[in-house]
Amino acid sequence: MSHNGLPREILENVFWLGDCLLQRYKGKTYHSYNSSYLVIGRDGALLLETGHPKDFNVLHDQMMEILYDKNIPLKYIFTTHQETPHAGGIARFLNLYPDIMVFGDVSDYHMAFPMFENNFISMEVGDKIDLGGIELLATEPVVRDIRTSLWGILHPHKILFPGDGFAYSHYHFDGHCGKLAEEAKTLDLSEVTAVFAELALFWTNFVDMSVYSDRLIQLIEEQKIKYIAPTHGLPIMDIEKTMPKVIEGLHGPYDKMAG
Amino acid sequence: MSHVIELYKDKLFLLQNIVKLDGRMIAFPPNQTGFAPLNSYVIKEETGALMIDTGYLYHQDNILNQLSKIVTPHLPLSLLPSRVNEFMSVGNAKAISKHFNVISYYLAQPDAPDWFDFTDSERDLELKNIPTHVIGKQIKCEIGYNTSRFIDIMSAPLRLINTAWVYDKLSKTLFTSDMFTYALSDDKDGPWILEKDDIICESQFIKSFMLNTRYWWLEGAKTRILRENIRRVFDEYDISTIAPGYGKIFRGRELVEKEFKKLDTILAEVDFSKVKAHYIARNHLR
Repeated sequence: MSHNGLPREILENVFWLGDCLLQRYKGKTYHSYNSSYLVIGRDGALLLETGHPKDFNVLHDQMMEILYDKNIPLKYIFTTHQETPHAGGIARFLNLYPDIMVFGDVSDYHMAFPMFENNFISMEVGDKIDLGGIELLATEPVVRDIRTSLWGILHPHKILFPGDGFAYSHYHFDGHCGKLAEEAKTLDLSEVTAVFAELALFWTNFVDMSVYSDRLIQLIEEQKIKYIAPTHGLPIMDIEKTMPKVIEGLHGPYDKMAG
Repeated sequence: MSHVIELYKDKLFLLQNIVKLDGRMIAFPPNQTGFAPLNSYVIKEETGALMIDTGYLYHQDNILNQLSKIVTPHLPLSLLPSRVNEFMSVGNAKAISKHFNVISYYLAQPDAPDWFDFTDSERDLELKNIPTHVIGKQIKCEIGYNTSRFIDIMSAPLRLINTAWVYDKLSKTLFTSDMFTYALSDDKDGPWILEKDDIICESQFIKSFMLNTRYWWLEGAKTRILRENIRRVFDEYDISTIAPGYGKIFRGRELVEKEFKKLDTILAEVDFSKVKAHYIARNHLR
């Protein structure tokens, strides 16, 4: 296990990978993840998100350890959107494994990685990737920072992969690295969600987020989501307990601005 | 198609690569047709230069070739990707760093190569020896050495993600990254610089362009502070050219004022006091 507590199997055949990024704000030091998740199906493995460009070697080592152990090939990559902390690793992976297919909204990838244009497969809401016994369903990206975002839901696990939704930092000094949201007892989820939104999701400062949080709750209920695996936050395994705090934080910047 | 345009003699250059719009580029509405220039800029003095945005990897050969027409391999060059998280801004930062004398980066985050060194099979860790100047709310940067030519680099007053705007006092140019990006062309040959108002750039089109790209969230938002901050930029700087990261360039004080006015009117129209906020689904076009 690496210094940051990853990789970690959060559910059977679903592994949390990645590394932390240190960020400073108003005298405080925050850590945030640029996580990837590795899903092992019967016919192959799927990597969700390709990690921050700086993390490629760590991520690759974590992934290979699991694939070797499971004796299964990486077949697919899915990215939630085209920002570099989510999709920056595409070329690094395709340089090593040129047969991998990259799924998602693939806008811009022909410009960003022209040498791999034939590896990209466009998805829309409702499209699926079949791993054999496990499926990833592309779904509506409720909280997003690029118009071409897509979220994923893994079946039968009912895990939501919301990319930049549910984005929040954690406290390295309190030992939160590698912990699930519910295990990080001293983490003020509302505060760290608000800070992340204020800094990284500029628009949340100006928009009454109840419109978006209502839609988020609707999605969770409609799709019967049981778990949430964000790219920047700690995985959420108890939605009823944890989601209200995250939603409160998401409202934070607007409430602060309005107040 | 690509070309270099001298916007201010020996001091400011525009590197353009023209793309045909086919719904596959994030920066433009998915149903948008026509042609658009993707822009990089070089602000230059005899003793150094700064490049704003490095273009997509797709245009790497063009960009390196264009840049070589403006700066020698030895001239100290700084790079400023205006949107650190976007491929259009950082795509060729590594290649330029390897081919030219890059001495520093300006970025919203420290350790710039951590954010753009991802195109090859291996990283070049030597790039980490090149210092990164972190852009906070606003910083000044001298072009070259002891030239007294300073530019202001500031956090964009209206943005989606971390974005920098730049003002160059000498050329009176405001570099606006992903704002004022709506002036396109049906003709692959342009023109790419506007000096009078274009019929295409009427307010309804601009509003639709914004709502269908980066600013879907604006309808029903509290826009007063956004408007104030944009107005502050317009009032503080003497701007005769708007130089966006993509789309046509706007030249002339009158035209610049007109474009700012249109933006202000649009932001006033979509304010929460006039429009009720509602959920905007992916691919919802207006």
